[in-house]
Parts: sequence; C-alpha cells; structure tokens
Amino acid sequence: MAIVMKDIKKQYVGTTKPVMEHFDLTIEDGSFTVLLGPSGCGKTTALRMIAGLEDVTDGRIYIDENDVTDVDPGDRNIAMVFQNYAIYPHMTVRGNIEFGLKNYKIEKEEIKQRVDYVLALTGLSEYSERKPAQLSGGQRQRVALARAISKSPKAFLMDEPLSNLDAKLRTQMRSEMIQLYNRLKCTFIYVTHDQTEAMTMGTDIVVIYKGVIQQHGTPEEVYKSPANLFVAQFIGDPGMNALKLSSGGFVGFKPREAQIGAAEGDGLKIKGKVLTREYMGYDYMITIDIGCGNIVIRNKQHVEVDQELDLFIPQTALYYFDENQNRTETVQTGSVAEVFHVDD
Amino acid sequence: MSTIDKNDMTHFRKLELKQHGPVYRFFNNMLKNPYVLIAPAEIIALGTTIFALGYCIFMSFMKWDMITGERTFVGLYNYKYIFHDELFLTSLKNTIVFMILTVFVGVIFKVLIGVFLNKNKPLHNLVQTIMFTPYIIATVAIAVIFKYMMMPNGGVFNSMLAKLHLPTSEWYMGTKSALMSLAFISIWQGMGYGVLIVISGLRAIPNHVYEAARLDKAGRTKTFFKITVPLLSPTIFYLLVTSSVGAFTTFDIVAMMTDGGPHNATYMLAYYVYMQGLRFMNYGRAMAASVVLLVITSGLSIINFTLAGKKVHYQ
Repeated sequence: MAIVMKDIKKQYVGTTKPVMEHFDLTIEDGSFTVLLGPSGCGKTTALRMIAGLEDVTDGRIYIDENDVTDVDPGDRNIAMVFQNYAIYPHMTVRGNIEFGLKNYKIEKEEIKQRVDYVLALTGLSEYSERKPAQLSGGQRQRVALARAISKSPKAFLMDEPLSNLDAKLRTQMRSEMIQLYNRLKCTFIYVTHDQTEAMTMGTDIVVIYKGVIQQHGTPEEVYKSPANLFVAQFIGDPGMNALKLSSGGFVGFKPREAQIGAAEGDGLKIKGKVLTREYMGYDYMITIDIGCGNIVIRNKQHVEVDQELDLFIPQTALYYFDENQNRTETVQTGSVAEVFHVDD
Repeated sequence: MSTIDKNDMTHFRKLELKQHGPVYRFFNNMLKNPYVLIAPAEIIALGTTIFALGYCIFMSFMKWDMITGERTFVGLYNYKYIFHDELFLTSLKNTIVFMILTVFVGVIFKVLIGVFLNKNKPLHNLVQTIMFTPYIIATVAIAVIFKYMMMPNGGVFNSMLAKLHLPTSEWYMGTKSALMSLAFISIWQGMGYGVLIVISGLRAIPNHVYEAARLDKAGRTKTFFKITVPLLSPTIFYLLVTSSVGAFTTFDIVAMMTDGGPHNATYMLAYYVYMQGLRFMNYGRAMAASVVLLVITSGLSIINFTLAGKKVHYQ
C-alpha cells in the first residue's frame, strides 16, 4: 500500500515557524522505508502525521489512494510501535493484544487465534498472562510488536522502537525485525536517527534535515552517491570529510578512501599531523590536523600520535559539491580554505 | 634484644582503643537494633495513640461516676446500652448514609472534574485555585457561611431557586434534606483537594498510552473506563479510604449547623460520642461508642485494602 504525503505543512500552535513546509513523500507499497535524520529534523512528526496522531496544518495524506487526512488513527488500517513501547501497564500481555482487536469488533474465536499466533510468532506464548512490569525491555518491545502484528495492518509505523534497548538486544531485535518484514511483506515505515539501523534494515532511506527531504533512495544509493553534503556527512562511520574551496565549492572523500603515504597520479594530496588514534578492531580511526581543520580517516596502518603524514585520495574517490552544497559532477577547483562540517 | 621503654605505651594504647568496656559494648550493640532506633517515635506514637486507644477500650467496660470519681467494672453493659439506644442506632444509620453520599458521589465528581480540567488546560489553573480555597478555610467558618446561605427564609440558595422558578428546599432545617445538605457542603469542601489529587494522578499516566489507545480504535468512553480509570485506580483508592474515614468522623459541621437535628436527622457517630462524653458525662458510653466507631473505620480500611487491593493497579 503506497502512502503519499502531499505538500504537507506542519506548524505547531504558538510557534512562528513551521517545522516542515511543502513536504512531499511517497512510500512504495511493501517497502521498508526508513526516515533517517538527526533529532528534531521532523522525521517523527512526519510519522505521527501518517498515523493521525498529529494534525497536518496544510496538505493531504493518502493511504492506498484514499485521502486519510481527516480520518481517525484507528481507522487508517495502520499499526504503530512506539519508542517507549506504549503498552498498557495494567493489562496482561494477552489483554494488551486483545484490546485493539475487540475494538475492531472481531469475533472471539478469531481474536484468540490471532493472539495465539502473534504470541508464538514473537516468542511470548509462555508470558501471555504476565503484566508488563514482569517483563524485560526486550519482551515489552515484543509485546508492542505482537500487538501491531495482530491487527494485520497494511502498514507498520515504528518510532525508534529499538532505542530503549541495550546494544546487544538491539542487534538481535534488528535481525528479528528484518525477518518479520520478510515474512509479512507489508509496508514498514521506520523512524530512526541511527544510520546503522537505517542501512541494515531499510530497502529505502529517506534522509531528512530541518524538515526537508535531502535524499530518498536505496541504502546503496544514499551511501555511494549522496545527493548533497549533509547526506554525505550524515551517512558513514564517520561521515565524509569535506574541504571548502576558495571558489565556494567543496571537495569530499570518505574516510576509508584516504591512503597513507606519498603517491603519484591524479588525486588529492594532503599533509597533516596525527592528533588521535582510536583502535576500532578491524582498523584505526585517525584524526589528523591538516592546518585548516581536522579530518578523520579509517586505515589499517599503525601510526603514532604527532606523526607527520602524507595522505593521498585518488581522483575516482573524490566527490564534488557546488556552493549550495549540492552534489555536482563538475570538478571543483581552488585552494583549500577550511575543513567543513554541515552542522557548524 | 631491644628493651621496651616503660613510658612508651603506644602499642598498648592501640589495643586499649579496640577493647571497649562492657557498658560501651552494650549500648553499641543496642544501637544496632533497628527497633531501638525508631523507639523515640514509637514512644510518642504509643503515648498519644496506642495508649489512648487502650485506655479507651479499657474504660468502655467501666462505669465512671463523674461526681465521686468512682469507677466500677460493668462488663459489656455500655455496649448493651448503646446498641439499645435508638439515638445511637439513628446516628449509625445517618453516618452510613452520609458516608455513601460523600464518598461515592464525591469521588465520582472529583474524578470527572479532574479529567475535565486536565483536558482543558487554560481553565485549569484558575478553576483549581478557586476550587481549592474551601479546603483551606476552617470548617467552622464554612458551616457558619452555609448556615446563612441555606437559610430556608431569605437564604441565598432559596432566593436564587425562587428567581429561577425552581422548587425551594428547607436545606438543613428539613428532616429529609438536612443530611443531604451536610453531605453537599462536605463534598464541596473536599472537592478542591480531591481534584488536585486526581489531576496529579492523571499527569502520571503517560500520553503515549492514550495514543496507543487511539490507534487501537478505542473511543472516549472506552478509553476512560479501560485506560484512565484502571491507571488512576491507586489515586481513586486513596481518595476512597481517606474520605470514607473522614466521613465517619465528621463532627464539626454537625455541631456548628444542626446539633444533630432536626429530629436527629443529622445525628452522627462522632457527634454522639461527643454528646455522651462531654455533655451528658457518660464517659463509659462515649468510650463504647467510640470503640464501635474505631471498629467500623478500621473495618472499612481493611475491606478497602483487601477488596480494592486486588483491583487496584500499582505501576
């Protein structure tokens, strides 16, 4: 089921500036679309507007070509999983799942079947009579998932569902979510600020910044061919190094593309001094002072702090951005003015 | 071999420091006992409540002549007397009716108004302040004010009703309306406090639970009964316990407004105890009546805790 947000404007009551304006987004049927961006970028607001929990100031929202802008959340045929689970603390696991189904006036027999099915699917069968307080964080999140699945909605909306879990559990749940998606094959809309989650789970990534969609593409597209400097610097671990040129344009390269040592051939040659060296297991994360700022590279070669380095980035690994920070194929020339970060 | 200087006692002194005397050890061990540490508070509690309670129970089996000061053991005579005293039975009945009125009607209104104010934030602060004011006014003052306002002839209440062409009432002067009038004042007086407690309970319910309910297609009524009420149950329970005990011990409004009248229509247990003890100087009977009052209030609390405890959801 395709979900379309058309020319959306959202302005909170009592504020002077809208959080988003002319926001257009089409989410393909059956995709696992991740809304990715830093906190406060409007991704959660967008999700909540699709869910109907937040009113739109202007514009329309369509689900399966039906205008749902003024439809109640309960009638949009969607299910949502919240960051803090939002399960009913006074109901048992079974009660939590049943509550919605009863409201949809589903027959008793079928409710029981559905609940048993989702409990088995999420591995909660033996906990069905427990209260949420007697469950671990991971189990509570499963209850929220089970509740969502039980409604057999056309789309699942998820608002940072894994961010309250510890690192190990998060990795495990991530894999379970992917399996779930593969099994259910329906539309997932997933909000996160964690690019690892976005890259590993999504079939589509929508990068949002300051209420504006920066890029909408597959994980590969977003990673390999960023549409602008923000996306380039937001995606990657760490993001792209960007050098502002005297001409106003930018040249960028990914931390893993920098080679240590002087080299011949076309490319970018930089000299610098090692500031810090962090051991990451597979390689090192090295922060280098190049005189007009610091850059970060990832390299397997062992370097010492204060060591002077020659860096070489081949021509093919360079990205160019125009003065508006948009990606361009035109080679940007000029002397390096400073190391640039979009956030600054 | 090195010789030990007789004057150098340093290492002996060190030993001495560790070896405390028996008195010190006794007190030191005693202070490790938690009951010793809470003893000061316990002693005050014992002196002011437990002792008084015990003394009261003990005296309820005595006949105490105020003139000679003579006390004689009469066994259950005082109890027999009060349970055959029509006035006592009337006051017991009145108290139960008063409690049902104030507790149930009161709590329902407190919850409804609390929910309403919590949803209408702009109204909230002003109305809450206005509603809370009666709670900080002395009951005596309130009783006097209402005595004038509820006066059947020329009182504000009846004048307003007459202007609106509505039937007037005898309020606290009428046999049928007196208890209701007192219940009304009592509910009005406790409303602000109750609403405050309800609102703070409502604030503790996370908003996302309501959002989940909206996504679960739960309507307003269903959300109220299936989400708000269960999650508010500890608060409601607290209000039930405190207000039912409060209702059973109501004294000041009765003493100020009706003196138990008209025709004993507002005679309540606490007032009965007061009249028997301090007016008629029947200490034994007063004590017996207050023991009955104690049994009822503690019984109420126990019933509340065991019955409601199963239904109350504590997070």
